Amino acid sequence: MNAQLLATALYNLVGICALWGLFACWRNYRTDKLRQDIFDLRAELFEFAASGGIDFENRSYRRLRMLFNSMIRFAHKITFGRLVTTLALEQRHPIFQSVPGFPDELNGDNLGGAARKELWQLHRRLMKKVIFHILTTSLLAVPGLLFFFVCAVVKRVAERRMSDEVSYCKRRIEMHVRLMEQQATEARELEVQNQRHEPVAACVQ
Amino acid sequence: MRPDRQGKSASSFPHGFTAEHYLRLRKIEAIDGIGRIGARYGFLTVIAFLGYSSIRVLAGKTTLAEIAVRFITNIRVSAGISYAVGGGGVAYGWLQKRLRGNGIKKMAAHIKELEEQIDPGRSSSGLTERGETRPEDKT
Repeated sequence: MNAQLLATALYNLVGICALWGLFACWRNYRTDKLRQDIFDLRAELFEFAASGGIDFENRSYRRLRMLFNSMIRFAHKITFGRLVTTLALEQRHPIFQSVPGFPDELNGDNLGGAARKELWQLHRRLMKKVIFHILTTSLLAVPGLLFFFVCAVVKRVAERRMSDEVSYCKRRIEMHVRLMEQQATEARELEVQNQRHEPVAACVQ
Repeated sequence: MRPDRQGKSASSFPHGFTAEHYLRLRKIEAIDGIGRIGARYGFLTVIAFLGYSSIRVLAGKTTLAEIAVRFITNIRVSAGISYAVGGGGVAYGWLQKRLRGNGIKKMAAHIKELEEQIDPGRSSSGLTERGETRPEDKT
């Protein structure tokens, strides 16, 4: 190796580091974008309630707003790695499935048809945004998802149940995203409990 | 009621969560955090190792000054322009982000005030006043 080759090698290493830095910027941007999207959903929910669609004190309204707040705050922790970790641990020893998610609580609430539909759709849009965020912030997410899909199809073919692979995979992914929602909500509520006597002045949003 | 490590009873957790759920959350957080930190420092280690290995081959044969000169002369004008455009784009993005943060800081308090007139029990996301992640929430 001569000095020229070495210079080229170092040049390429600097380029790789620059790409890595750029990817970090991209991830930060995606986190801000997700937060902004959820802020928009929260504003829609607020306007729906302000227009008389649902009472501000309604349990489902409060729960969905809190869910939005939790997802906004912990958006930086919504990662493919976390999804995979949750999925793997739940596969081995499921414990979160017994905890009711927002759709379950919405079903238990005696709301009118229009309000129920609106809240359900807002929650559905949140799920889509979270899934899209995960897919666009990890290099492994799309190949990982394809691998997961292929494995699920092979498994179902082996079990001779070819009917609805896509909806089956979709249901499972949505379930795991819901688990992440529960984690965000749980972390936030625990903190609210702990800080009930220590309000943070800087939190205005 | 099963007490957790801090002496809390299971019923003190919200939404039907128990100490077991809480423990699982911490476990997920730890695995995810270790994975991310491992990937970050692993990448840096590999880059540093490759750089060091390249330089070690020529130890005693070539001076650092010669390598630096070759490195600089290796950057052609077209590549230099690409770097300048890329770096400029990043700087522009950063400045826009800062501007957006200033806008959020200015507007958020006003929106909060107006919304609280309609919903006195309004809850907050808990982000900082500039709409950024709180330092204690970062892994």
